[in-house]
Parts: sequence; structure tokens; C-alpha cells
Amino acid sequence: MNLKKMTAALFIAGAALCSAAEVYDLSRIEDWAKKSPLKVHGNGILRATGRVSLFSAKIYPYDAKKTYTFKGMYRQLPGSDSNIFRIGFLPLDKDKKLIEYYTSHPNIATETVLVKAAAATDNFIVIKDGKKWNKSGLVAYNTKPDRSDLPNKNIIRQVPKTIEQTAEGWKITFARPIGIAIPAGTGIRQHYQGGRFRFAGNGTGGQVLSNMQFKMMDPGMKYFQVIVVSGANGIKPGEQIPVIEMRKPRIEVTE
Amino acid sequence: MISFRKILSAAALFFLLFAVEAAEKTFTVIKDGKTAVELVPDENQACLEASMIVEKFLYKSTGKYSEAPAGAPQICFTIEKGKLDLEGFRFSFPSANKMVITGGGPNGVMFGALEFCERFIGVRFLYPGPAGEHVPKLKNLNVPMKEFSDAPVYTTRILDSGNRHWSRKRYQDWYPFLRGRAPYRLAIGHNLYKMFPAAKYGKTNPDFYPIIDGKRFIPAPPRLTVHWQPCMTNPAVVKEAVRIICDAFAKDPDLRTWSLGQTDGNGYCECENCKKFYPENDVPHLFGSLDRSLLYLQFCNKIAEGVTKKYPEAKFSVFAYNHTSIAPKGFKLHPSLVPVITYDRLNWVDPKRKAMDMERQKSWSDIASEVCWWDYYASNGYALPRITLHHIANQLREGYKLRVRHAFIQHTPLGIHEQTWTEGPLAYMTYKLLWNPFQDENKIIDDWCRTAVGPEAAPYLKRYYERFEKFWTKDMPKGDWFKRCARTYLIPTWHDYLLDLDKDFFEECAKDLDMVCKLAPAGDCKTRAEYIRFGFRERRNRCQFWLKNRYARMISPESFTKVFFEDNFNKGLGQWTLPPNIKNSGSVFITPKAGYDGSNALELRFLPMMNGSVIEKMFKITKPGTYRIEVKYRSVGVEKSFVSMISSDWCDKDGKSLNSVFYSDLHGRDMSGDWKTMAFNFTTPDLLPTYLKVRIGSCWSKTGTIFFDDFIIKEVPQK
Ligand SMILES: [Zn+2]
Repeated sequence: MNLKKMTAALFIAGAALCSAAEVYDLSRIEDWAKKSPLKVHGNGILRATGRVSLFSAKIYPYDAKKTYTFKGMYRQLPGSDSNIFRIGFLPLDKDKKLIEYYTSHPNIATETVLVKAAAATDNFIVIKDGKKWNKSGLVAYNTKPDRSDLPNKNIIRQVPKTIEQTAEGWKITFARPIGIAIPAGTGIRQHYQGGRFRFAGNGTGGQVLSNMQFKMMDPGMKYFQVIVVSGANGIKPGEQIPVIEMRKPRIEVTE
Repeated sequence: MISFRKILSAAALFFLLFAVEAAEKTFTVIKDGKTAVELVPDENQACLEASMIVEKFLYKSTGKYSEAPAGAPQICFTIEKGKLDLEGFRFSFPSANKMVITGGGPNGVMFGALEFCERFIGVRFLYPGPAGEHVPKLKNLNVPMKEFSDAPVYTTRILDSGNRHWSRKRYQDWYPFLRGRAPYRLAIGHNLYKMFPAAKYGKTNPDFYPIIDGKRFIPAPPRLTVHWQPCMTNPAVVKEAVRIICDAFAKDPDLRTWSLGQTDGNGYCECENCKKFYPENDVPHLFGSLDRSLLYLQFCNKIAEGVTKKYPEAKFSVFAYNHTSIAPKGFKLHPSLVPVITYDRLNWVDPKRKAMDMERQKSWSDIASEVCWWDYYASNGYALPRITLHHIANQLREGYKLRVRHAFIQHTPLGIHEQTWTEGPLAYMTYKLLWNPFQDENKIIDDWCRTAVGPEAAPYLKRYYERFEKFWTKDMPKGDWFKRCARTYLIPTWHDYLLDLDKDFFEECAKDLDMVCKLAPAGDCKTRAEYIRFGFRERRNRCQFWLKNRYARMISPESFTKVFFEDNFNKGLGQWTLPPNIKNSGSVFITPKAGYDGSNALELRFLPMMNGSVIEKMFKITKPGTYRIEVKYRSVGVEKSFVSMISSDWCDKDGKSLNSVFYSDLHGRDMSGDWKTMAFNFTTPDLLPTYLKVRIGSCWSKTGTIFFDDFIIKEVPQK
């Protein structure tokens, strides 16, 4: 083997090593859910007009040890200044069910325990420490301080109406009965509320997005489905109609 | 036989035919109100963004989004490094169906797209905000198929606005359209102290630091970032600098510029080697400092030599100011070094100041291949818009001859109190001339005025701006303010330049703008005309309010005999409240026996995690008058930096600041522990009723406390 050939061979071996990355291709129409308004616009270029939410056809496995990166280029034509487009995913659990934001985003500072058993008909609970509690978070129970309960579907889907310190502990009152009996000593905390989608990148007209890495934002995420939103703010009469364009969209998975 | 004349006329005919042929060759972009071209960007961020600029304005011009049919002519966007200037671009037409916009770099292709929009579609970016954008509605657009290329003359074009803040965002979103887009090609700023932090080298390499007063000075607070320079003759310092820069360049292939800006202040090394580069006769130079330019430049030269071996395209800025104001005669400056000369060139209206600046300027222009200007418009500091269009145009043309190729201008046109654009074409014209200073500024200004308010109103608008130029270049220089401001930059916040205004200045301006509003056609032009007049009125009110207040300030305290409001805090906080955006009330107290006469006092206690606190109260004012605010204060255990403060701001009933009048405040810094009084006089603005928001506050200490007592607002009784 002459030197030239040998270096070429070495190069190929190196290239093979580098391309160990797994790729989830999203550049064909069939990579996206049926009925998606996407149209092919040239080689590996997809476009959709108007206010759209695009979902991937497939659900992809997720491994928290790996890094996931949106590759390709994403932009919104003709470049409305006010409209936002977003690239992201839906987090799914081991049963491929959606992980609701409020089951997996704890307000750690509110971690405490119930000091008094609560009945389903009660519209209040009494907790040990309510100093950091607020009126915007939902309430999770059966919580564990090491957060191994997450995602935790035991949620009282109400926000506190009043928070007051009493002789027994902190009394948290709700608008309606809590609907579940909880024994004293149960771990309890507040959870943040948020939307269903997790976004790796946001852009406005004029911006091109690429190379957006994402990591697990929800404990218990084992799968995900890709979501792309365009014209997210809605389109008022007379406003420019956005066109989302994806050029060779794909996700690269690296160790 | 064919006569000579016939040959001539045949040639003329041929030429004419050819000319007609050439003129007719066009490339169709819009046809019957629809986009007729496909935009084909290369697969990179800059080309995609460039194509989006064109796409966006084609859309705005036609009013609808239409994808070109398959096989339609193409406009391609590409980057070709090396042949064009990094920020230059070229339009070419390789075939009847293809136009190519080629950029010399990412900014180049972007600027090509902007040129396309301005030149062919007729788009104008007059001033920040949507109303400043002009997009003609086109049914058809045919572009002449003529190759064209362009590149900037000033390669650094920065009209700076300060850091990212909501109040500046509108401007910061706008100037990229005027080609003031980052990345900039010359890094400027104090940087040596950042390259050689004491935390990193203090222990291992004490010899990096200067000998001052016979001792090695290792930087420490309060002189951590000022008043010291590295030892500029130590080869190890040079070696380390070269390493730092080369490493940074290797990491970022787009980074090829570095600031060698010295640390602010003095602190040049006094070791024997460094002293060899001091002047023989070590006396202050023309600008009053001891000259250290030779020491500094031989150091910068060595770094430049080291780095350019590997990165020949690198550019370094060096400061030409303070101890290095004047370049050493005959010095061989490395061609990659760009001296930055700092001066407010409105000073040039005075021939003496200009001559002195020229002495410095020439010393640098003689030895440098390129020079950078640091200039000051300081727009939001001035109550009266500092519009000097022709002065700036002349200055930039002169700069070109002096090898100035980089401009950093402290512009800050918008701020919290300056949200209306009042400088018309100032920034627009400056950006255009920085790109090419050989354009006729009158054409730029006329075009701006015509586009903004329509052809009939334009002459009045232009005359309005000329009035400001006449003031700033002819009237102002005769006044005391200009005399007092004989320094690097004029001081915008000493507003006494207003005393130099002609008494009918505002009236004449108002007449012009009334005509502009009358003649501007309905629609965008009328909207802009009224916006410009609104901005003028806001500024006029501010100026007149300052002039009125000036007389109020001279009124003696004894004249304020009528009490409007008083509060000795003996009944608690009353209606004093925390400002709506401040939640923490942990440091505001009513403290018994702490007052001036042994009764209650208001206490604003400094807490380690808070940088001060403030309370406020609103007063409705219905009658014109002259008022005085007084409050007693006493500080205990505060840090030296502390400030106690009272302020008054004019607001609407919801507490929103009126930008048309001045905000006033007063700081107290007394640390004696005794009671002191802060007081100031002011008058009411023209528009009544209005609301006066008074604040009492403390800031810039982490320890101690400030007591306040006997707050009073008094007025001069009406006759
Ligand atoms: Zn030295």
C-alpha cells in the first residue's frame, strides 16, 4: 500500500469512528405525522404555511446519558418580526405517555410534610413549613426529598388561595375540596406549572436556528416526539403569514 | 467611398443600439404583483438570513406571499472568501435566469441583500421602530442586469448604544439594517488588565507587574483594574501576550482582532529597562500628561510581530490618549496596530481646538496604516438634539484623508427618558457616510426627508434640521458652556448651552414642523411628520423647563414661606410607599427617638443582600408655581460609597414618567454622623395638572443606616 492510499484508509477509519453518531432523520414528508401541512420544497427542504404545529411521525427512544442535537437549519419565512417559531419535543415516559410539566418540575424549596391528616372533603391542608409556598404552584403529595418520586402524578390540581401560619402549622386553603384523603406525615411540595412542549430553540423572523442541543428536562423521560411550532403567537388580520422552513432537519445523537 | 462622417454616425448608431440593448436587459423580480423569482441561498446561516431579508421585503412590497413557479429565475446567495472585502458584496448575472449576490463574508452577503432591498425595491430604514421602515408597494420590478460591487470605506462602523436594555432595544434592532452589524473588525477597549489579572499571575509571575515608586506593584483593590500597566520591557510579558492572543484566535476562526488597550489611568513601569523609553526631557506633553507612548508602542509592536507571524490578517487597537496621546516622531508602527484617538469632534467648530487635535492626529496618521476614531454624540444626554449633519459629513471625509478607517461613536440615542427619535437623519446619514464618505450628504438628507414626510414637506423638514446645525456649529461655540467644556468630550448634562439659543429658536422650529405636518400626505408620511413634531415638542418642553428651573434655583430659601406638605414621620410612613417594582420592605423603618428633635425618624437601613432602598409619594399639582424640597439626613456606619438621595419626577396620574420635563435628583454623601440638609428648588411644567413623584432613597452601601427627618415641600406664595 502506498502512502497516499494508507492515509486515505486512515481517514476513512477516522471518519467511521466520528460518524458513530446515530441520526434520526426528519427531512422527508413521511418522517412527520400524517395530515401535516408540510410540502417538499427542494432537496431535503420542507415548508409549511400558516400557524402550524408539526409532530414527528415516530416516537424516539431517549437515553439520558446521550446528547441530542437538532441539526439542519430552521427558519420562518417571509420573516414576520412578531411571530415566533419553536423547535422542541414532547417528553414521554416509559409507557410513551406524555409527562405533564406539573408532574416533573418540583419547587424544591417547598418540600415539607403534612402535619395533620387531610380528608377528601377538606378544602385545606396543614403542613409543617409553608414559608416558601406561593399562590401559583400546584401541590404534589407522596413526595420524597430525594425527588425519586418524579414524575409524580399525585397532584392536587389547585393553587393555594391563602397561606397562613397557625399554631398547628401552616394552613394552606384552596377554593375547592382537595378530593383525596392524605395521612399525616406524607411528603408534600409545590410543583411549577408549564406547557406540554419542551423547546430546544426559539426564533423570530430573520433568525436562522441550527445546532440546538437538548438534555432531559423531565425525570422519567424515556421517549420523545419532535414538535415544531410556527406562527405561535397567532396571526392577526393583515399580518404576515409565516412559512416555516426546515432544511435537512434531523437529530444527531452522540455519546 | 464611405465618408468619415458616415463611419462616425454608423459607430454612433451602433453604440446607441448597443446602449439600448444594454439598458433593456433586465431581470424580472416582481411581475403583476407577484414574486417572480426563487431565492436560493447556500446552506449556511448567513446566506439563509440574507435571503430572508430579500424575501421579507419582497413580501412587504407585494403584500402577499407567493412562491415562484418551478423553473422560475433564481437569485442565489453565496459567500466567496478572499476575493471581496469581508463586508463587501457583488451582484452578478451569470445567465439570463440567474442573479447572484455574493458576499465576501457573512456580513457581506447580508449587506448585499440589504443593498438589493434599498436600491431596487426602494426600502428605507429611516429610524428605529416600524414607522421608520419605508417599503414601496410594487406591481413590477425589473432589475438592470449590470454587475455591481461595493465595499465599506470605514471597516469599523459602530454608533454605540450602551449595553442591552429594554430602552435601547429598538435602536439595537435597527442599526444592523444600516450595516452597523457585529462582528466588528476592530476590538476596542481597556484590555491589558484583563489579559494579566493579578489573581492569575500575581504569585507565579510578579515580574509581569510594574515597579512603581521603587517597589513591585501587584494589582490589588482599589487599583485592581486601573492605574497600573504590565512591565512593557519584560520579554516574558510579550511572550505570554502572544500566547493568549494566538490561543484565542485558534479557538475562534472568526476572531482576528484584539485590543491592546492599556489600563485606564497611569501606572507605567519605572524599572530601569522601561525608563529607557521615557523621553529625555520628561515633562508633560501638549495634553498635560507625561509621555509614555514610546514605551507602550515598542511593547505593542513586539506583540503584533509575534501574532502576525501566525495570523497575518490580525488587527490590534492601541489607545492614543492620556500618556500616549501623541505618537513618537519617526516611530515604525507595526502595520497591524490601529491607534484609537478619543475626541468629541464637535470641538472642531473651534479652529484652535481643531488645530491642537490635528497635531495629535497627524502624529498618528503619519506612522499608522489605519487609524480609529472614538467620538461622542452622547445623544441622550442632551436636552436639545445635537444634530450637526454637514459637520459630521465633512469630518468623515477629512478622516478618510487622515487614514481613519474605523469609527466608534458613543451615540446612545435612546434611553429610559428618551424614547422618541428626535435626531432625524443623523444616525442614518452617519452610517451611510461611514460606508462611503464620498457621497453627497445633501442627497442622503434630501432622500431621507422626502421619504419620511413626502416631497412637499421635505424642504421644511430639512430646514428644521439645519437650524440645529446652525446652533451647534455657529451659536453654541460663542457661549460659556463651550468654553467650560474644553476637554475630551463636551458635557451634555450641563445644560447651560441652552442659554446660547436665539430667543425665537423654538418658535421658528415649530413653524417649520407645522408646515411639515400640513404638507405631508396622509398615511405613513403624515404619521412620521406628527411623530417628529411630537418629539420636538417633548424636547422643547424639556429645554424650556430647564431654563425656567434655572431661575428657580437662584431663588433664596427664605422666599419659600408657604408650606405645601410636611412630614416628620412621627405618625409612621403615612402614604409613603415602596415603588411598585420593589417588593422587599425589609429595610424601611420608622425608628423612635432617632429623629432630629428626638422624635421618630425614617430609617433606610442597608442590608448585606440589598444595595439600598427607596420610598416614594405622589403629589397632585394643579397650579403653576415654584417649590422647594428639603429633607434632613444623617448617616451612621455606612460605606464610603454610600449615597442618600431625594428625587422629583413629573408623572401622569398612574405614576408613569413624563419625558417632556426634567427629572431632578440630589445626592447627599455626608459621613460626619451629624444632621445635614438636602434641598433643591424647581418649578412646575407647562401642562397642568400633573403629578410630582418624590422619592427618598439610599444606595451603594452594604452596611450602616441613614435616618431622614423633617421632609418638607414649600412654595413661593402667589401674589
Ligand atoms: Zn518595566
